[in-house]
Amino acid sequence: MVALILCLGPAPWTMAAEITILKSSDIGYYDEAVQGFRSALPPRTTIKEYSLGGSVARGRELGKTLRASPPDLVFAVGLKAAMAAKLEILDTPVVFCLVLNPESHGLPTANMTGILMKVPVERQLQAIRSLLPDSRRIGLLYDEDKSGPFVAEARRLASQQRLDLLAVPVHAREEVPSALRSLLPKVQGLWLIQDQTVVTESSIPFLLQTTLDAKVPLIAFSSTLVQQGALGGLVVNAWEVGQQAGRVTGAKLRGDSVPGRPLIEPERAQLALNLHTAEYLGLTPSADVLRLATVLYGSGAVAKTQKLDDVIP
Amino acid sequence: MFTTLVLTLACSGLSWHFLQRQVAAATAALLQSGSLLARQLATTSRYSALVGDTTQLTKLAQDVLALDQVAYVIISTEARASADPLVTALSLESGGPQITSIGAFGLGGLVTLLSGQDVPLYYEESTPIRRAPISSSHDPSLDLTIEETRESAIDHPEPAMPAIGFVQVGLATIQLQTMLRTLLWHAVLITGLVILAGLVVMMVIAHRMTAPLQALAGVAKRVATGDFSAPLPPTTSDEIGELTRVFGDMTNSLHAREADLKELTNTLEARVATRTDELQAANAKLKELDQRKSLFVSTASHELRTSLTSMKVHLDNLLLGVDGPLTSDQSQVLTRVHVNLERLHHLMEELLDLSRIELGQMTVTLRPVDVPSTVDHIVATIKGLAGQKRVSIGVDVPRDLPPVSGDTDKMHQILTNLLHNAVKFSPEAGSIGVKAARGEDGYVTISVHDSGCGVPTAEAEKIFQPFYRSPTTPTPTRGTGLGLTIAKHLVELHRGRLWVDSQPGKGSCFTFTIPVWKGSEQTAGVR
Repeated sequence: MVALILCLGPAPWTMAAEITILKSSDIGYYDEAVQGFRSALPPRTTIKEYSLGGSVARGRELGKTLRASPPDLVFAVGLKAAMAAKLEILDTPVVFCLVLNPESHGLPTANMTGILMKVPVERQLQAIRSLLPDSRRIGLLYDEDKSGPFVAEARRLASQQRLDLLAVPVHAREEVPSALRSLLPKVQGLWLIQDQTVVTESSIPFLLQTTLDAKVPLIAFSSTLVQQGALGGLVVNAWEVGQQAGRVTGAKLRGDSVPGRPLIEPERAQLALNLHTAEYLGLTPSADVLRLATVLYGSGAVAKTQKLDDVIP
Repeated sequence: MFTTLVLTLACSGLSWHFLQRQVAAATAALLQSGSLLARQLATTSRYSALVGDTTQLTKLAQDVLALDQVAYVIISTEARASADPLVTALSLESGGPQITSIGAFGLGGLVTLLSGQDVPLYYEESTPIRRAPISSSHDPSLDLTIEETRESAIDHPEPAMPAIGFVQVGLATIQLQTMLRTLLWHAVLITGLVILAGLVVMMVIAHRMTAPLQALAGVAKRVATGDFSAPLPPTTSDEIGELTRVFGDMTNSLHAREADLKELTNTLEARVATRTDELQAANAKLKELDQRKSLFVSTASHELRTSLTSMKVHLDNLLLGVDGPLTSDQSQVLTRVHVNLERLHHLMEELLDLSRIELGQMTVTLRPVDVPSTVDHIVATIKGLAGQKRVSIGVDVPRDLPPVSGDTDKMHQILTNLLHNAVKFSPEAGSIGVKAARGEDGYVTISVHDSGCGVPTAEAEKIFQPFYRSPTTPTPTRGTGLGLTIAKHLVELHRGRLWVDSQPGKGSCFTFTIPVWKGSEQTAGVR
């Protein structure tokens, strides 16, 4: 189903549609998502853009206005915009993106479709295999309440990738240092997932420093973490998420049914790689990995491509 | 004195301002370097503070302590109420450190520095140790993982990044004080030199300004006493020199004027004497000419009167028919000739009287004269003439008036002239009054008033001059113009006085006084 959607390109619509964009705030990646969204729409589309300025109340006021004079579709960027749309826009189709855990906030509702921020487990495991072809034991810290289903699926799929996933649960942020210190000697790589108990602003320096000190490669989900010392990881680009949302919007406005769940996985993820970290850890990325990596650190400059193919073969 | 005070205050103020600026700049530089040190230490100790690496923290603190201006370093991993950077000035007193103001180098501090002592002042820079921001505005995966929580779905203020500790760097001010002490001494020395040099320059300028002025004042005093001999050459080419030059010109001009005045004074008396002599000569000549004129008039009048008398006798004989009967026409012609001869005779008589008066030949023989009868007589004589103009004459003369000392003929002539004058200037059907009264001063006052045109006040004296005729006199009025002149001279021969009181349009009143008869016959004359 997802493949079918991916095949749908920005086709010209017979009638000019009216779309309203609700943006949670003026953060850079929200703007990038909006730009990607606009690039996927035909030129005749009438677009009105509003910024909530970080205020859900402001979003609800805008939502009431839109309910009185509804557009053809509402594109919500960010959690607060999506929440305002959920509370105020009940009939008009809504597409949202850049929400990390939509289920935690009761998203989506019946008229909503969202683009997820998490790369599917299978593709992440494939990336780990590509970056650490000689490693089998991969450690993982997670909070059962927040990432239990994700880790369960990861356990299931890891064996298919011939990986031994050693997942250690933590229940609070304070448990992370001790859990990490006990885990690192047992694994050949650490997979850092988007778990909000494990990944905090205070834990990140510790995670980076500790793994580097222990010479255990860290596979992360963020280009920032890769830049600061993680070996690599699959990262989601806001512009491409926005463009994917634009394509889904086109399909909805044409009346095509969007198959699958109301939450759609990101179509594309970029492989990020830190060559300095690799050198420090004594690793030599393969030629295929270097070819597929679209975000490289340690090569003198950040190389970023707009390669549309999936990084995982 | 005032200038010295102003100069001293100005130099001291400038020096104080300069010192304050230097103190502020040096303090700011010290605080800035301390702030940089504290922030750098907070940054470098961030990770060590996070993990509690005291060994690394000690090493970092010792590195900073190696700097001269750093007195102490405190790195704390405890949370603090205020996580903002803070600068504090501490004064080490006997009871412990006291917080004081940042600009602690006031007047007292500078005096302490000047005396060679140190001010126990330290500055403390306190900077929080914050975690480095991890997320990026272009990395939604990490940023949303860190930031997106359940609570972020509702509105709440953005939480500030918490501090994990703080760094305190104590800055010693010994080097600053050493620099300030040197600067202070330099400022005191320079200020003193500037004041001294300024005083010298001001004294020189003051001397250059006051010396010429004092010389000028001295010369002015001598000029005020009349001494113009003091030379005053201008010594400068400025405004004072110009003033000296102008004053010298003014003095020379005054000197020349005074010399002219002296010469004029010296020659004035001689000129006055010469002019007096000339006037006296002219006066004598005029008197001689006047006497000759009077003599001529007297002689001519006498000769004319003699001829006229002879002519009149012959004419009377003709009119009386002594030389034969006359026709009516002849009689009329001769009558007109007779009238004109009478007038001419009267003129000659008056001219003779006037010339006699002016030559001093007129004499009066003073005897007791009865005023009422004299007045009655003259009024009766003049009534015929008055009747021609229907002019009435009223007489108000008390009968008990004492006799006056007068010449009967001259008294008649005086009254006749005054009454003739009154009739002449009275309008048709006018009135004339004659009054007499005794005064308390030994005189009898006799007045003749008419209802004529009156005499202007400005002409009250002129009408007594010979041949004077007022511009306001009616044209038909005829006369010799000698009657009032003769009357006035005759009254004065009687030691009396004649004057006129008049208002234009309301008539005139001629009054004369005659002394009361005292008992002995006298003869009086003019000159």
